[in-house]
Amino acid sequence: MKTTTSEIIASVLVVGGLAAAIFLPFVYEKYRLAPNTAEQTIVLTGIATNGVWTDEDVTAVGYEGHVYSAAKPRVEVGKPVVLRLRSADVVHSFYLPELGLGPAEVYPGHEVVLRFIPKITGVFEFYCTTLCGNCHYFMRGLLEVVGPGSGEKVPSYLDVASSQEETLAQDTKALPVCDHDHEFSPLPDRVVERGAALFSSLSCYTCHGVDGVGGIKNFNATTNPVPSLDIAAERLILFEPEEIATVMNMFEEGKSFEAALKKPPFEAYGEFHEQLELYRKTIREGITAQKKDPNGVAPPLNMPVWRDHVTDEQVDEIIAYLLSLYKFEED
Amino acid sequence: MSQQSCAKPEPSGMKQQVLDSKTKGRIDLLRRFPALGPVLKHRWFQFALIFPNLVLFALFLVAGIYGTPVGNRNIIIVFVWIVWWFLLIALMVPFASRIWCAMCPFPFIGEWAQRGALVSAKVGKAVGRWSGLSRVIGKNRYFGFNIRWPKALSNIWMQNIGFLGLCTFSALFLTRPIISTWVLGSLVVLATVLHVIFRQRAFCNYVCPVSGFLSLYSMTSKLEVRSRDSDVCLKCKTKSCLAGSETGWGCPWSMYPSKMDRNNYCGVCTECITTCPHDNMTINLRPFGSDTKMKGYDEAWKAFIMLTLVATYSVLYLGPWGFLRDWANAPESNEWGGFGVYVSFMWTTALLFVPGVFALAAWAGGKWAKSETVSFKKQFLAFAYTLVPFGLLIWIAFSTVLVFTNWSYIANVVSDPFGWGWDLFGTGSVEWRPFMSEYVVFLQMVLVAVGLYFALKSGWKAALGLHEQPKVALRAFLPTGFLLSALAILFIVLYAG
Ligand code: SF4
Ligand code: SF4
Ligand code: SF4
Repeated sequence: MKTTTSEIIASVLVVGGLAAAIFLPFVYEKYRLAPNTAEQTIVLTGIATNGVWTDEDVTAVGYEGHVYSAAKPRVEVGKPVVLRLRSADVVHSFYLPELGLGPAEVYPGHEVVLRFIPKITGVFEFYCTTLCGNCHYFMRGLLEVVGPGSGEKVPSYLDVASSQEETLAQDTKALPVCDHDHEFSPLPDRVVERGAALFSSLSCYTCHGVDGVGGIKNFNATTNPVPSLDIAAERLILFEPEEIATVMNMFEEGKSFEAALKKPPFEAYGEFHEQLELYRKTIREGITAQKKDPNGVAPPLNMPVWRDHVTDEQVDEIIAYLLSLYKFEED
Repeated sequence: MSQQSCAKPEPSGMKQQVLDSKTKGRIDLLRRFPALGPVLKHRWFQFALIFPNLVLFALFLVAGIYGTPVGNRNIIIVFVWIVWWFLLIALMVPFASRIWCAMCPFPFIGEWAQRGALVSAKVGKAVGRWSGLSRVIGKNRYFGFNIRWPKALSNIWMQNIGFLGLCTFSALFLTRPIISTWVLGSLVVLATVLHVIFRQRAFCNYVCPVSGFLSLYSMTSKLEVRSRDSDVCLKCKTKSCLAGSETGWGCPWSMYPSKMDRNNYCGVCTECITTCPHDNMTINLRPFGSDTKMKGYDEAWKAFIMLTLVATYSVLYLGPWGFLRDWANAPESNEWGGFGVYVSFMWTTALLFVPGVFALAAWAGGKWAKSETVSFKKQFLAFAYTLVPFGLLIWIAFSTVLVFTNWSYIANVVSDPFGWGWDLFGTGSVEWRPFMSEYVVFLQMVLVAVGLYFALKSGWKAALGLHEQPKVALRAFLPTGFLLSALAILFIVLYAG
């Protein structure tokens, strides 16, 4: 073979080989996805570091440092939907209880494909139900199913009050965002402030609302929406400002609530103490939300078990913070 | 083992000794398997070796950019840092010297630009004469500036520091595909630029961070490229193995193949086998650990660095100390204070502490042996060589666990290189299950013991080479021998623990 011919053949091989390496994967991917592509295809990737299911493209390039946004996909009622679920880091579990989708475990590198035809319209919340990292409690998104053609909403027959639907519609604009920036160091001096810091860093507000106002939907739970916590004082049977002040002082000074049983500082101290123990236990041991409809799906939100993550002192700091949220009615 | 070329007079005396050391235990593979010669000499041979790796390498880079950010599901991480590393350290280097360098895609584009050819050799008219953008060196014509590499940098210190520097951030590129892409991509760019500026494979000889340990551990290899008969070379007028010819390029690694007596800087490209008009270059099989001479402190330090690194990685990745992994992975864990401690400790240990302890052992041996004829440097370098077989076997022990533990990821990415959910060969969903996890520790112990055996053997041989009397040699070597044994015990405890 002549030298020039050999060189041309080799050059063509190199260019062809490199082009194949660069482009063939994308061609194959397109061909592979063809059966998993419908007119309405949603690709959601779970990202633990941001606490989102995102519909942005997630590739190695641009991943570091990028803050992915939570997906708010919209589909049309009555048309098939292909939902392709991926994970960019750890194992997630996708759950959209109102449409009966999941929980489906999503491993990195394994795509989970769910197909469904939405038969009702409305805004439906989806979650990750596997503790996947510090931002797990933020992993929520909203799927909007709209009426045919116009894209407008048609009245939903969901068994939720219209006011709740409004809450959800507002949520569409304000899904909680996981913000790792607020590190609390040094820790605040005051017990209440330390409790507030914990309430924030443990992401309690993702379910109980900012300032514990509650109202977050928990589908098919007996306590739907999630109970508010700004009335903790009432639950702890503390109705008088002086009683709250006494308890707060005890928290601040680190006094033993058990020891005070011998010489109760106020009349209903015994009842208060019983409730305090219940609160402590709830934070430590968690609660599984009970089903409202026993034959229905499991509620997506449960009170987690915190005993391995917080100390007894921190449990009390959180309770002190909740007490501080109580607002006495003006006379 | 047939080393005599036809109808040559019998050598005698001193020359016989040299010939014996050159041929002892060697099997001339080109004579044993005559069909091999034409294959190696074919101008497409090198291309055929590199081409598949080049395409795969490009695929890895694409995966590193567009594939999943999950390290263990992306082929660039799994293949480069687990499969390639294992093949390199456990198979290629011990059994085929620097054969990897014959198929390495890093310098491909640079060399293509430099030679202006992929599968043919170009010749020019005059030695050292510029003609436009090209220059004639020896018989071959090269493009680019073809500047000589600076003498002051003609050692492997740059590779030593570069490799240590890279390894400092290993936790980053071992887990993040995009960073691996950056590192590997930058190496290709750097190699290309240096090929355009400097002569031949200056990048491989002096810069490539992989090259340092390949050169070090290839000393142990079972394979070598060597000349057959120095008489033939003496009479040879063309010196084509060095100068090149119409049929091939002069040694790209700037070696004089005819005089080569170590594997360190031979990239097994087989170019000299092609160019030698007298069929005097060949590939030999030889006993393990046949090259035993360290030529300078840069090489000795490479051995210390490699030992420190394998110890560090063994502690980090095989040990139970999670906080150390956090320290090493500061960009993720934010443990920058710990990272500082980790870096300072690693660099001090590699560059000062380990060399210091070995120097002390060599010095103590010299004192005990009361040897005045053997200089400290000679003894230090001779005993530092013991870390070559020892370090290699420890690296094999470490890498074996990596492969045994992560084999399922290899199966996964073969079927799904990008982590997009493909299942090309039905192995995309193989679950993670370490292979022989209960027994691998015994294999590690055996490997460490074999490493110690070769280290002690080579050290003892070196001592006997330095000191005539066995008693003196024993005294000289004992401190280093103890040190090696203590190290082996430490590694066994670490792996077994
Ligand atoms: S020295 Fe480095 S760049 Fe050169 S061929 Fe070997 S591995 Fe590749
Ligand atoms: S070309 Fe062949 S014979 Fe000549 S010096 Fe080189 S190896 Fe020896
Ligand atoms: S000595 Fe021969 S095989 Fe080794 S690098 Fe030089 S030309 Fe290639």
